[in-house]
Amino acid sequence: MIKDYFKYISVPLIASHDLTGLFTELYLRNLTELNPDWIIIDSITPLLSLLDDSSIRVFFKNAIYKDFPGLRMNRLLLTEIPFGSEYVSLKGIEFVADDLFILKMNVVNRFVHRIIEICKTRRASTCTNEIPFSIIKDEGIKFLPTPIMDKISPVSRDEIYYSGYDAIDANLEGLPKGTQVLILYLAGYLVDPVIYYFATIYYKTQITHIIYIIFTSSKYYKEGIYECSKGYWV
Amino acid sequence: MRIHLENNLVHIEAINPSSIGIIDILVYELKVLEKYKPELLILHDLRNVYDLHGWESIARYTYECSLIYRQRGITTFRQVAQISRN
Repeated sequence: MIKDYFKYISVPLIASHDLTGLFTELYLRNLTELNPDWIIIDSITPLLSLLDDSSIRVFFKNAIYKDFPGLRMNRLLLTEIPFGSEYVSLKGIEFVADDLFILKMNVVNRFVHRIIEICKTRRASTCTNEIPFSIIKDEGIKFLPTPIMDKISPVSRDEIYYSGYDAIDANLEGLPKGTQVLILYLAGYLVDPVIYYFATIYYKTQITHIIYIIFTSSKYYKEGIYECSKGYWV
Repeated sequence: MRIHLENNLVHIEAINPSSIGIIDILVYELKVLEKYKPELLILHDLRNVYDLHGWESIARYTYECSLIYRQRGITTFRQVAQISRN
């Protein structure tokens, strides 16, 4: 099904000025025949290394960025940043582009840290220009965008979870749905019963679905919760 | 809770924080939440994550995640061990 939406066109490597004519011809012919929504060129690196500053601007303005009557399409151009460099010279073609993004991969504390840098974007005001992302197998790129504060409603007291234990409910007055709770404890203190306890007391209420994400071995974890459910610590 | 366990309404996901970066951990968290759509999320033993990935970056991403979870109405317990009372 997805196949029908894509057409892959292989272009010979452009190693001399003469081949730019062939590229333009191929580009224009496919564009008029297929009338696509998106054109992706992967990559423009050979063009950038072949043409000088002024001729590449002319080439891009007259061919790739050119608008044609009756055709509305987005163009996505890719280029690689040389190994060891932070940026690549685009020879002025970024001047015509509406958006310019740089995908970066840094090593922080020996972990891979991927970010997309938004260098230029028309139409939108951007406050954050570095957005982290991750590449997940079979799913592709997943971004971690900063939430917009206006879209986050304050915690509502319409739905409150009560534990059913007077000592806790009297102090906390229940937990409104969506509350973010931080539990700090001194290292060495036996915390597992506490976390089991917090989880199990709230099950008595409306909560039906729970996820534990643990950063330790899971071997005995489920057993621990199960034991706790018998009321050993409650 | 026993009913929850027996009906598979409790999911336990174990992550080794020394094997993946902080962004990947958070994206994994979001992926799990998308899949199961829980009402309660418990993040257990975050001390390891803080120590391995640095408190500064964790503070930033934890803040962003807590906003996302609040937006989605997911009640969250984060549990962190402290070295000393200070």
